[in-house]
Amino acid sequence: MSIDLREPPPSIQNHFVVETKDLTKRYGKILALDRASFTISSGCTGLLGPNGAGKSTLIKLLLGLLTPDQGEATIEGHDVKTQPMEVRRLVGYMPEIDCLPNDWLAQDFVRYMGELHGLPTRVAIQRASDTLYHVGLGEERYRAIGGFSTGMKQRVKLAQALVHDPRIMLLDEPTNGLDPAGRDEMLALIGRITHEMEINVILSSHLLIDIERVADSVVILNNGRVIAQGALRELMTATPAVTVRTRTPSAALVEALRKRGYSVEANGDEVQVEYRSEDVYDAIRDAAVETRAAIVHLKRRVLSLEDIYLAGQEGSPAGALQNGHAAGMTGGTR
Amino acid sequence: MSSDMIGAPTAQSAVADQKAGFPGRLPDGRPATIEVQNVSKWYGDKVAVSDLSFALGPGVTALLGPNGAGKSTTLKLLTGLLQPSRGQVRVLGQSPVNNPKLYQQMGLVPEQEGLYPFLSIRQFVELAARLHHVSNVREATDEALRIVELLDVADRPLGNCSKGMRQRAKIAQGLVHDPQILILDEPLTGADPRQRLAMMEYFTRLGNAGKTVLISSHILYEVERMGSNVLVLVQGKLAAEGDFHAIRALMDDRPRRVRVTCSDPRSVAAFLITVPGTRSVHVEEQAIIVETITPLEFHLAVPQAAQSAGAHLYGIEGLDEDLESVFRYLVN
Amino acid sequence: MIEHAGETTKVNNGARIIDRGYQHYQGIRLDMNHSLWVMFWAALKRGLGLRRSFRNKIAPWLLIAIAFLPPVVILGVQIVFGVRASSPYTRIYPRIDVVFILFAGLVAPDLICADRRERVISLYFSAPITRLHYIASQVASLVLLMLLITLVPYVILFFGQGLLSPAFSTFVSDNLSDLWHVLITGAVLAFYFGTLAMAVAAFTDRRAYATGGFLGLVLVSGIAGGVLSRLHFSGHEWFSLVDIFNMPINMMRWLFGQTTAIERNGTVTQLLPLDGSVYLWGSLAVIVICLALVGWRYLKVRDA
Repeated sequence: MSIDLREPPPSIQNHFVVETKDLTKRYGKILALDRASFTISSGCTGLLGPNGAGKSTLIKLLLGLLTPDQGEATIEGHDVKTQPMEVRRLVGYMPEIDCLPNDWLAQDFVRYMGELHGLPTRVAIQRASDTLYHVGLGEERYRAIGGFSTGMKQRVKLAQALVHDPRIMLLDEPTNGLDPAGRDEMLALIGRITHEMEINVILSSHLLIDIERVADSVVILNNGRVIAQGALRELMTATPAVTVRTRTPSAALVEALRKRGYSVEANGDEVQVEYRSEDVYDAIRDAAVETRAAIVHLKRRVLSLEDIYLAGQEGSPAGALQNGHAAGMTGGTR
Repeated sequence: MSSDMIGAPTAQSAVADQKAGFPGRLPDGRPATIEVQNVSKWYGDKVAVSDLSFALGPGVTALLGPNGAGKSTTLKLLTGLLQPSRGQVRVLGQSPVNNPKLYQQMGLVPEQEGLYPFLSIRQFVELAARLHHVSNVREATDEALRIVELLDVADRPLGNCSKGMRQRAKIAQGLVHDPQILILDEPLTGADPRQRLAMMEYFTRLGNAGKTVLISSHILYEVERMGSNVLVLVQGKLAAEGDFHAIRALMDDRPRRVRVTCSDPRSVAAFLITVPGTRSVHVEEQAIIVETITPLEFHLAVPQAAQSAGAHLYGIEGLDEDLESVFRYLVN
Repeated sequence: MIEHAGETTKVNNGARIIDRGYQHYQGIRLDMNHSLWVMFWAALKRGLGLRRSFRNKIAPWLLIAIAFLPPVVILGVQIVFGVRASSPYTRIYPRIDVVFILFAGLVAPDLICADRRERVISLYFSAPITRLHYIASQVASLVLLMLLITLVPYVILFFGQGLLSPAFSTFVSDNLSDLWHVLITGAVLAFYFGTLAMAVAAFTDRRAYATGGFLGLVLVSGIAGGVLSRLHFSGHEWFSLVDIFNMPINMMRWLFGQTTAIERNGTVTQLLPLDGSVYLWGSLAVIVICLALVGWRYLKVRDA
């Protein structure tokens, strides 16, 4: 008996990849998720939040491993409560923990996971081989997983999530334990999955720098609630400041800019120039020529994901926004 | 008791060390708290580290390297958990092997687990405090727990804690005795973004206060924010040492890559190509990427070039100045 | 020029570059019954040590070889020396059941403990299979492997003796009850020790503890039950039910009608402290309890 996944399910609204409404989950007295509502569109979405914010609960709910106490969640139109199996067929999950069997061959295990997701055996064998190749494990696929390095194991974890051609991949801390080159390759791989393979990705990570690199949008949780969500393009808004760094601190440059009517905040070799209009760029350029300043860095200051994230957390360290609140932050439901 | 006095080399050991080649000082004159001379460690045929020589002093230093480069072996050699096959290690002037008194001055936060699941967080940290002969155990424990933000869950057994909490408990036991030297192996594992920032700030403060903090980490972006001093290991050997900006400057076989965002990139490019030292100019739709071997002249020339071309200058960005780029160049 | 999904082929004067990028899968996807079958087969192969290192094959194959030894020897002796062993089953089973116990004790933990210890189970449970599918396939595969050693050799022995007798159909009709008894005994032994080993393995993550725990349980209960049931106090016979080791063997004796033994000095001793049917029910009860334990352990969804 077979199931045809080519037809889209009947109840897709607004073509969201994931949609939740008032999702609530309690563990005894602890409220892990509190009426969380958000939508995830296609592309790569980062899932962020402090430890204990409800991310792992959310992931388990999305995989149909837990049922919500209240509210609902749909993945590509399938309700996680009533259709958990369909949901799992669509999702490829790469957990954070070590979860690979040591005495299986990589090829065998990835094939097995493909079969468990419904692939016929012949197809699973072929796809396992191809997938392992795509994640960069060509020759090693006939070796036992137990002998693999951390980087190779992470790739196998990714391959088993990818083998059955999921519509969405859920990656939990995929760069854990990887050295800088491995991190780079994993992030590049995730980028390829999103853009070349056109598979939607939900990426849960504590490394904001990774999310900034590969994600198109974010959902930020705290205390079981969604405190921000949206496209990074929109959230990371430009601030009214331009950062200029010179090779050595240049008081002359600061003077020249102030003379031109711009307010300037000087901090050693780094200077923040007030942005009122695009004219500021010409002013900086001309002031630099005039004072023979060597500018090593010039950029309109934009909110970083870190700025946005911290602004939403309580008790953030002093490094929170200097220039007011994050503009363009869309709040979740309350 | 001033931490300068404990473990400071005596007159005789200083002379002996000088004879052994331990200068006791860093090149800039600051005292060296950790010195390693020609250290190698091998296990049968396998060479874990080979001919390491370096010195560390107060401040934050990052120990970097690909997996398998010998970082954990190096950390074990510094903490006396391993004895070198050849060469000498001196921490605060003494060998760390079988040196319990020295351990009072050192804090180690290892990567591996192996904690006692039945102990509560507080008990675990107090145990460390007692082992290090801390005089006011309760206060020191509270302070350490406060720093790692585990004070309100201090009575939870370690077995019931998440990986991130166990990691922070480990950090707490590493600093409860206010050690002169703190050695941390991937200390931020499992920490959420805000906790990471808080801990990074804390380590930076420790470095500024004169402690010797050695952090091994793969997250170069974060390491960079705590300080510029690095030790890079590749395949068991020391590949680079010092301020990574200075290391970058030494790489004169690698031209600097700079992206200049401007209107009318072609005209600006035409001017920039005349700057001596420009090796290549790569034109994109709204920017140019230039490779230059004379960065100072280049940076001086950019605003001038834009002005002469009548173009607006929107951005100047060094593409390979950061630690990640420097590291990549060192490893390849 | 045929375009496959995900492939692009560029053509120039008969030359081509075929870009084999990632291919989406548009074909059929099979349902959970297929997954059940897949898990069952995988467990069978795993139990036999296939697709794994040689070390994993030694124990199961050695035990299987030993389990087949008795019928081979008996039939061999019959062929060579013409001597037919009569009612061999009641003499073989009590001695060979050690092999069954060892097999179950080694294979059950291998099937289910590692999955929990290495936490692969979190991957399995996020696949579109139910927990019931998973544990049922593991139990079923172990029982099938057990049947291979508890039942198959003796069926072979039966029909072997039949083929060696002057008239096959006469032999079969004369000894049909033996065949039934073999089938029941073999099945019960397979389910009994299989589910028991599974029940023990379900409660620990470490294979060594599971094997040791199971063997210890069987051994201790055997000793305890045996001793207690021979002491002289009222109701002492019921303690023979504590003897988990021998329960199916006692059932077998009852089935084959071997409830008494004649000593050398001519006295007749009772082999079964209680009426034999009790051991049949007892065995079935143990099977049901063990299945319930395994089910409780695996099917109870823990919010973690």
